[in-house]
Amino acid sequence: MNDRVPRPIMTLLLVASLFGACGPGRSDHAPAPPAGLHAMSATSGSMAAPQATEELYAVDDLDYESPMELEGELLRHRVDNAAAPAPPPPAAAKQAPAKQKSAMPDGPRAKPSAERGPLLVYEAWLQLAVYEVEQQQRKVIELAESLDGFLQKQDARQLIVRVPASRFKEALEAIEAIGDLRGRQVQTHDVTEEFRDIQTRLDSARKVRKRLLELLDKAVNVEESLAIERELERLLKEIERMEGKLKFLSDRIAFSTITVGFSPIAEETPADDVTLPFPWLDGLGLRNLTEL
Amino acid sequence: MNMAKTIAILLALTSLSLLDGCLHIDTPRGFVELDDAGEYNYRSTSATGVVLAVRTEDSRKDEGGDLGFWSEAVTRKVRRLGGYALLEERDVKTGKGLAGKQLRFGHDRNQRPHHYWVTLFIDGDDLHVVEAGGPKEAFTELEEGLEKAIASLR
Repeated sequence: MNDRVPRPIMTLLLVASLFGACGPGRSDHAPAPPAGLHAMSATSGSMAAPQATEELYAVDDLDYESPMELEGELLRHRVDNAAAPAPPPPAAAKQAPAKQKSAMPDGPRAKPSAERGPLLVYEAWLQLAVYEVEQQQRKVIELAESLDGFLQKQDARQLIVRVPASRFKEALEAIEAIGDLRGRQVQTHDVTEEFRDIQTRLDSARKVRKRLLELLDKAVNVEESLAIERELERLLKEIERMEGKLKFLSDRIAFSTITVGFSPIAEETPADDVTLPFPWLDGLGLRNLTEL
Repeated sequence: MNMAKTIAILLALTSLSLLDGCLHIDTPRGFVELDDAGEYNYRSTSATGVVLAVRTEDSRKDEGGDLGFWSEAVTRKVRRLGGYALLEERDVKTGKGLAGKQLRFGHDRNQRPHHYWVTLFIDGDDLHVVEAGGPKEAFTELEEGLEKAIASLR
């Protein structure tokens, strides 16, 4: 094989193989995040809401070809080895980012900048004691929707809503006012390093892919073409995986998650914190009253 | 002698009347007063499970026990029971002009919404605690009668 495949191609294939074997490592030289990422005012662990996080979704509009476009290109090469223009990407590939973006608030596209803040994911868990759980759950859902958020999951005792990160604090305060707040937990995850690391590896993978495509066009025999195509297919899967991860992270950053639990219904347990020396107070409640 | 006996009987009757007069509440239409009031001084129930009950406790008036104190104590206690939400606080008055405080709670029980009212009146050394509660639908139907009954407390 070494005798038949030119050395530059072998070198590039080797580089591509090494890239694929790297796995989800960390990069100390985190490059600039994608266009559209803005610095956020909040710091890790703080409750301050980030600003302009909706622009994070500009990551979907990065100037790169979709994996499906690459797949189309491979197919084209197999059908016709000539350097014909690449076919337009499938409609799904074009629509996917647009569909996702349509759910996001519009915001100005940011220019790449060296000064960027942390990329934070906000999550909160609230435990509320409420009267008429269904009604209060509807209130929480309506509230999330009024803040450009949406319902993610709902069951009898709990619901999960997603709200734009810029309105996280506002949403928390409003939801807390719906019932008696029995528990509250807020977490902030800094995903800056992970995000930028994936972005770096994605950029590198795209460059390698571009080079492989160029070599594919110049391949002089079937064996060369097949070797390059095998690498391209493997690279395609890697790119898809990283793009998926980036989209997932972008979604978590742009839309904060608020999980609201509702108190167990009618579990009247005696209070154990403050006890006044008036025993008749212990007889209060529907259980005593209606026990005939 | 007859005169003395008559006076003694009258005094006894007056005493009994006074004792009995410590607490009276009209039983609302659609309710039946229960012979066994349990820990309450009075208790009645509707066929639909709405219950009205009254208990009289020491108001501790001389030690500072006023409507504000007892309202706070009751509110805290009921909310700590779990699952109760204070929906409304009302200033109320009996037909005889006794001022009171009504605490209206909501509560889900067996996955059904319930209403639970606690109305407090301080009458000298007595603290009258009037409780009314039951399934929301039945309670709402009987609400007017319950309000009248509470206002009849004397």
